[in-house]
Amino acid sequence: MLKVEDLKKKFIRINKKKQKEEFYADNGISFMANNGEIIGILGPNGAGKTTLLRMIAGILEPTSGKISIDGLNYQENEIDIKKEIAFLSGNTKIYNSLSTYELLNMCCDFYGVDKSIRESKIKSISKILKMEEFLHSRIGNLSTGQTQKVNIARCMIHDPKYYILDEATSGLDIISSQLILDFIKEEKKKGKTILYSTHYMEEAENICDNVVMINKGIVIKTGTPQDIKKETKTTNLRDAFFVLIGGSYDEK
Amino acid sequence: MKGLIKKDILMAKSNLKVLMIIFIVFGLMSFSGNDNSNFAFIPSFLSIVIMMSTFSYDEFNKSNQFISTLPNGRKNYVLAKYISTLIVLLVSIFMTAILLIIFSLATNTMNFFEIINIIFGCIIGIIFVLCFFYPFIFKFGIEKSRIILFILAFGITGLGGILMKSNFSVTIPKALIDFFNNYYFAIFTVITLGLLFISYKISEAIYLKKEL
Repeated sequence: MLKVEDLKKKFIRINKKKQKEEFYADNGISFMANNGEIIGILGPNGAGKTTLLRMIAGILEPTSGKISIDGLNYQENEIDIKKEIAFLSGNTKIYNSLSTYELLNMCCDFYGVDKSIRESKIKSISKILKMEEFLHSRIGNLSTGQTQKVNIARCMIHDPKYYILDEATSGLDIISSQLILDFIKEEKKKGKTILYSTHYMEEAENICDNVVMINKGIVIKTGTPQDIKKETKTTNLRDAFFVLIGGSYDEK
Repeated sequence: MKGLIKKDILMAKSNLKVLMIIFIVFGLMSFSGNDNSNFAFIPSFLSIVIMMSTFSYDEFNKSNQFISTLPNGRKNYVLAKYISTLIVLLVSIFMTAILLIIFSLATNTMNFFEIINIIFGCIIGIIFVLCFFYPFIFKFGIEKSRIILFILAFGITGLGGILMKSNFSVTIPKALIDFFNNYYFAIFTVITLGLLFISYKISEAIYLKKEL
């Protein structure tokens, strides 16, 4: 189980008067994800989704608040937590000069995957993702869809319990994004927990068990897509979001 | 960490070909009969420049974020950078040494002690560069650090030129010079290892705190 309690992250930015000012990208976020759930982290650009997921993935240190994964926390059990998570963001590029096989083998080294099972693991993942034909090709020569498959394979190599996917379908064509969505569904079947941030509300509506709606660094609603639609008397999450923020979106 | 070292070596692989060409040119120069010991530092210097380029690959691939999600990723990343650089540097030094030995045998112009001195000078000099620049790279990124590298290189050269023109001189006590002449291997080895440790610790502290 993954639990986030009152999580805050403060940054310093330069304002219009060219003065430094503090602001909270996330300001007291709390939610919970049970094992085998797909949790959608929804909100517009700049809502604080990426910062939140980066804190959960251990990339950023929270200013305050708690992250607990299977009862463990980053202060005391960072290595144990990181063995159980995989992070994939929409802007993750991979090493173009390496072959898919070299990259996956390297990731096995990163996570200490036993040498005796490496070959079979790489083979089985490439079979699942249909990557056999380009397993030994340079990543730089692959298409966007193939590159995305490599990205997914990289996440799967250490068989994590938690996937943290930050705008993983952003900017992808329909086939490549479907690949990610299929992957999410398959991993859910295996009992994996998936945190999935997106600003495509329709996409989240289709695959998420629960959603956490964020705006300007605070949670505006949590619940199942059905409950949120029912409560807001809307037919889709997009409309529900606008109802929850009071009708219009102010970017300030 | 083994994986991160392997990553850096793999990343540098394409550039290592350039280093091989330098070795061939250097080797050919050795057989031309001219004393080219002054150029012996070039392969070692290039090896560190090539390893610095692995930072560019990491920045370009935005892999720092990915590395931060690995178990003990940040600490291992810093250590792996130092180790992979030292590995490539030592291989480069080893090949330079072989070429210098061949050169000395072919031309009979250098003795074993001179070769050892040149190699030692290369190792110390390049490790000094590494110790100085790696914390900058971890702090400011490779692009800004390159600018700092150029400014400092020109600055130091310019300052040296000014001092030479102004007939600047420092009187060093003879006892100190004698002590230095007798123990310079040990003195430089201790200073270099100390600097390497300090540089690594500074880089580690910077990188652990860095917001990616």
